[in-house]
Amino acid sequence: MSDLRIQAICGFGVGSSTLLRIKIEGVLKELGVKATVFTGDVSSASGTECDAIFTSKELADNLRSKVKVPVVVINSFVNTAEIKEKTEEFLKTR
Amino acid sequence: MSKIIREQALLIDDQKRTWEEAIRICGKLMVSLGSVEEGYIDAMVDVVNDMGPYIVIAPHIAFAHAAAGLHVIKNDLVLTVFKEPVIFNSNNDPVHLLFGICALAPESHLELLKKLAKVIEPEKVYQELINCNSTAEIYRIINGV
Repeated sequence: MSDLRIQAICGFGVGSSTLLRIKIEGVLKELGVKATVFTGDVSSASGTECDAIFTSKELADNLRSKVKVPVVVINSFVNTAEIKEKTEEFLKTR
Repeated sequence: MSKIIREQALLIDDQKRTWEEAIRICGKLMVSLGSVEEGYIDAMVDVVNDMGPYIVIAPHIAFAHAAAGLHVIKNDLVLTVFKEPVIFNSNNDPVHLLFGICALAPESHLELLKKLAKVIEPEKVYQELINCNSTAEIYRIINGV
């Protein structure tokens, strides 16, 4: 389970994906999971190796057709409880 | 401790607005502060036209922004509180808090966003912010002073 790579996607990696990355990192730390969380944008997402993509609903639909890894939809990028629940769900599938 | 947002970067709007008008209001504020060129405003609107309302990142909260660097003069964060609901056609509608972000490079705002995320997570904070009638009140809530 080490070396898990999670990509947080938004349009540009400026605001929203950075916020999401911060929240995922916080949750993984709390769960004691070692992982690298990094940001990316829609256009480069499919070319970047990772184990899962976390993103918003709108971008998920676009990404699912392009990538093979699980795409996890986060409705609220500030809601720690939601991000924790969905991260745990994803970890169970590993 | 440095502040998350400065008072000049805050605005309250009480008119009924479309999502595009709302983004342009935030954008004009960024231009008036000397943080972006006019072109950044159109770029922020194009983002939503091209990629959908994904900038609505949480219930009632949107982060308007465009690519790092282009039309950007300096890193900045602004906030317009819309008293009337703004519809983005997102699951997280209606939007009342519209942040505007511009960055010279991706992830420029990492530390700032860490602090901001903590402040805006509790739902009651959003309620407090939309009830504010002065930018001084908003300033105090966001910066915790």
